[in-house]
Amino acid sequence: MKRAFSLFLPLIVAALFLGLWEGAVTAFAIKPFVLPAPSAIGLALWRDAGSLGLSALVTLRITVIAFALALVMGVGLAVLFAQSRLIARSLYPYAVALQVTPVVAIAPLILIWVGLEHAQRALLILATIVAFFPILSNTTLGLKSADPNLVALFDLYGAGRWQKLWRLQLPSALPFILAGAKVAGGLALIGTVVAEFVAGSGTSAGLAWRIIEAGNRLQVPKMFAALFVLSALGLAIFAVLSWIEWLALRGWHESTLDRREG
Amino acid sequence: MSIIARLEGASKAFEGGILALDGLTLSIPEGGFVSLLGPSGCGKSTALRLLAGLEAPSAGRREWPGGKPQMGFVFQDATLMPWASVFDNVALPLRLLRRPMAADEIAAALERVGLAAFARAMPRSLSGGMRMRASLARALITRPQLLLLDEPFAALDELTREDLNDALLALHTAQRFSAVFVTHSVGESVYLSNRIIVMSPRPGRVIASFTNDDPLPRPRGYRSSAGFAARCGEISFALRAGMKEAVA
Repeated sequence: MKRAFSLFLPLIVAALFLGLWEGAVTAFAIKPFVLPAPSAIGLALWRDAGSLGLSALVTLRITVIAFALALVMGVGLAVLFAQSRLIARSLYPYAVALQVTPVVAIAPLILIWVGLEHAQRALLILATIVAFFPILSNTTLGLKSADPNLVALFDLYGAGRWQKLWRLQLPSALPFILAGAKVAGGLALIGTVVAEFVAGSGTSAGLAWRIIEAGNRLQVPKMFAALFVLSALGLAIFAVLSWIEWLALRGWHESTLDRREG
Repeated sequence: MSIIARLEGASKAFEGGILALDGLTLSIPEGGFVSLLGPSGCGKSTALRLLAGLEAPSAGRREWPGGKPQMGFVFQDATLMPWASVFDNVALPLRLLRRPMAADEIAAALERVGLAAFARAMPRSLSGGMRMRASLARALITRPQLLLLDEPFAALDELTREDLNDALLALHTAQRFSAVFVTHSVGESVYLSNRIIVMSPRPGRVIASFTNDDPLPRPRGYRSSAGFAARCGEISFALRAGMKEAVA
């Protein structure tokens, strides 16, 4: 009952909001290139489903590859940092510097380096840079968060560094890595779209390009439709990562505890 | 009786200059059950970590006369890996030592602590007492010569605690390890051990040492016997005297 209600509530809000929107656009006779009615957006979504779907696939492909690269690099670098304090101290500030520099500002440089004919590569690099940091910082924290008594136990049995890493530090870090991955998934999408915008016309067929194109032609309903697809993509990424998190932590981590238990 | 581990005037100072132990001397006889009894924060746990070789004394010596013994360690918390099943938790020491591991060996170890039916269970689904049993099984899976226990049952309720005391004594009788048991409970130390070392408040020193010749394991009614009460009284008195001295 409670569950159905909590599912129902956002739907009611959506219905109310869309209804008011539709009513206001009709009542005040607002021009569609200023603010299109939800029905017009729905129509655009329906009519351009083919091209929007293809663009979504292009954007999704870059996002997923960038996310995978960020995951491998972030976890890999964090493991390296955990092995040597010297390496961590020497490299961590640069990882932070890379993170705080706005990606829009680096984008033109990366585009020049890889060449406009390889714009896809530039998008991939930029999205990876954006997505990489939360995984690095979360994994770094997670690797340090192993129970000190378990660390002592591993020492007592003369465990080597790789045994400790594999059997203790990585499992302890898993909840942190997955939390970082959830943030990184959204950031990979944002990074891809931002990079598509900067790369501009003719370089990409992604959703950002659809938005620019529609904007240039004052097809505002189509802009909204593309935005809607983008949000849906972001939500889907988040949902998939949450599901993976639940699968991996189910049965042992506090975050998956049913509160009615115990 | 030969000595398995010994501290000779061992002191331990931590960063910030806190002196946890001040010239502690004690020896653990082979096959003996020694309790380290003292108030909270008297350095009992530090003494245990020195005996285990997890930390080095800042002054004095730690000796293992027969070479470094195979050891097991039980912490105040069960300290199980939450992501691994009871079976995998108990198997951990064998895996770390890269010893051949037979599944029936693990099953037998679980049987001995009464967890035969819970090999596949995750630690989260067990009660506190059952987790501690799993922790005991893990510490004993390597057939250690020396078992070190750091207030293992302090967080458990009275009945569970008594059950686990009996389980521990049964294991001691069966496997013949030497045990060092850190506790702040006088009754527990008398029930379990044949030697009780009373420590002063920080910095920890030995202020008294008692032997309990009543044979191990003790009968069920031991806790209500007159001999038990007399020993407890005697040891409590020494403990209190140590506290007073520290205050004065």
